[in-house]
Amino acid sequence: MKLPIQLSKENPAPIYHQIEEQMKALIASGQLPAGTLLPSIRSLSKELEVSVITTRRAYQNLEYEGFIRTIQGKGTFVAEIDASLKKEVKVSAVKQAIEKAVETAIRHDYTLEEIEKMFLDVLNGLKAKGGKADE
Amino acid sequence: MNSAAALKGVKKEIDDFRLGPIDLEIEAGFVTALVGRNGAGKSTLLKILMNLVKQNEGSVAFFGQTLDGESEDWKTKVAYMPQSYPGPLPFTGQELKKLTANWHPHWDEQWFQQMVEHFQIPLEKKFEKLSQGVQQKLKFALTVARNPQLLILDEPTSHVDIPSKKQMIDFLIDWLEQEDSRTILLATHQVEDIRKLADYLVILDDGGFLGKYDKDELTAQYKRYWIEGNLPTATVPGELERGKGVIATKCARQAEDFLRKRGITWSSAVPLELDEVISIKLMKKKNTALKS
Amino acid sequence: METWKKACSLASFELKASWKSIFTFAIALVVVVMLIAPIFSEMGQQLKFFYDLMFLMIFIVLPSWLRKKEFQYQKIGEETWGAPYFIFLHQMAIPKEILLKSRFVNYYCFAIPFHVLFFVLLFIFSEARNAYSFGEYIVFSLIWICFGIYAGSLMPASDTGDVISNLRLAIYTILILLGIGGLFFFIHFILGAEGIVFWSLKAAKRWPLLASVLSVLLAIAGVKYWLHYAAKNMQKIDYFK
Repeated sequence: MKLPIQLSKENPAPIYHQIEEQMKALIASGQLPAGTLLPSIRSLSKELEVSVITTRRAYQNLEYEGFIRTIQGKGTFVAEIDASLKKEVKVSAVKQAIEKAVETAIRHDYTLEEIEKMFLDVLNGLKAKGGKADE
Repeated sequence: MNSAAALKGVKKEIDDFRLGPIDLEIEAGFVTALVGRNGAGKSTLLKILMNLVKQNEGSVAFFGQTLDGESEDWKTKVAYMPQSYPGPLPFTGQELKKLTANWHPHWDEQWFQQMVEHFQIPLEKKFEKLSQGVQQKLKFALTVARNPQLLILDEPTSHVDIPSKKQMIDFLIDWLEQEDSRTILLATHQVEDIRKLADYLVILDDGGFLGKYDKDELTAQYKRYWIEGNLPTATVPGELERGKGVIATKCARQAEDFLRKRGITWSSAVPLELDEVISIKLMKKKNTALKS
Repeated sequence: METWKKACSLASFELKASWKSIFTFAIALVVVVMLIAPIFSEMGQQLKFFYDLMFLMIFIVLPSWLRKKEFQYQKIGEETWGAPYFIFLHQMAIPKEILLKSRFVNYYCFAIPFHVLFFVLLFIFSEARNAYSFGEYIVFSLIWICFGIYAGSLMPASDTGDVISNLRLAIYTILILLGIGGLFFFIHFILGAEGIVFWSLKAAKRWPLLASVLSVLLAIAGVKYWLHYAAKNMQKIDYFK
């Protein structure tokens, strides 16, 4: 199976970390429900065009943190995770995305007040459309 | 780390060409890509491993066992796909298959048939009558279906059409997935092969051994920065080139520390493409020699 | 014995692909028999020098010419000679011993039937029947068939390749030709002797047992020697192709 993981070249975070974060998000959001068979390290490495050393590291960390588990001879599966852990991941993913947006704004020399206003503008715009983001 | 193959102090002189000295370990379970310009000695290196070309100095070992010229147990565990066969062969694909299957105890007939079907290789035709691309596909299937521990491939995807190239990579991935210790060493000029398959890169430059690199670590070191404001007047660590507002380096970490210390910011940092990195490695040999 | 069996099965592969060689085989056989037949007549006595040369040709180099071009010894690199098919097999997981023996088997599959048929046809179409007893003729044939094995095995042994520059090749060829020519000239015109073919006829008549045993022993030793030579040579040659 193909995972909707997109590595960003500009992202300064190491690749294994990017894989980890995106997998966590996919699992927490329910896009990858518990029990889903994940691609092998080798085939994910091919898809992402990275070495198995990198992918293995991401899988090992995810396994350590309890997001996935490997059954010898069968493969790696998405693990059952606590609702609290799910929530934690979701919150941290959203926060990270907002942080990134804020960083962009700072780089463009906006003050925090100005950024806050922009943020509220976006929120209000969405509210007006019925609370859904553009797909 | 388990070693699938190892070269120790291997040297070979052919007229005025000198290969080596090469000290190289091919780790089991990984894909190592051998890159370099035409005539860098890639094929010769593979042939030395296969005991087809005999080194002047040094030794070759497979799975931890040093070869003494008489040992042959390694041969069923190592399958070699040459760039081309040594001469014309008056056989059909079917005959070549029978011949090959006879001598390789781990031959996987079902898998061979699957590859033949995918590549649509007419097995009843004489090998010589096939186009170069189809010959390549047949050679590939005849090698991979031997099901060895170590595959040594000399430019497996050259002359092959784009869909089949992808298919070849997928077949190799499938093969690797079945056992953790399966290993590939391939010489290639195709960036796509390296991107999708390789874990390690071995670079040869005019017979010289430049080194073995972890692919992701190597690419992470080569970055291009779009600098905000003025470029630093001093040379950035590992600086490769500078242009209008842009600096490229081969030591990203040190370069970033250097820029930060001087309060220089950048709007984006993008790793160089793999082919660019390899080209730089092969071009800047003299400079690095001077600097290091 | 096991390795010889496996070598035979390996050699059978190219034999199957070589069936067209049967035509060359037949033509060569007819021509050779026609050329050699007069040896037992009055006229033959005048051409001893010619027969010596012909026998060397027939028993050393001719059988390998009957093989399909793809399986023959040929130039494969700037200074490299060898049989491409041998190198192809060498790249597979075939044990060296079987690989080498298969080259020899393949050669004998051409050489021995050719030589046997040659003597059979020669017996039928020449005056040998009048000059020699059946037993004597058999011994004479055996001497040469064995010679074909211990001298002719040079050919399959050469499949493993040689590295030689064109200049050296030319010099060696000239030296070998001069050597053989000189030797024969010495035997025939200086010594005034009858030459090797007639010596072998005499040996078959006078010492049939000794000549037979000696020939068979030489054949066995010859095969061993050339196999050993080929194995050593293989370990030396660089197969760049």
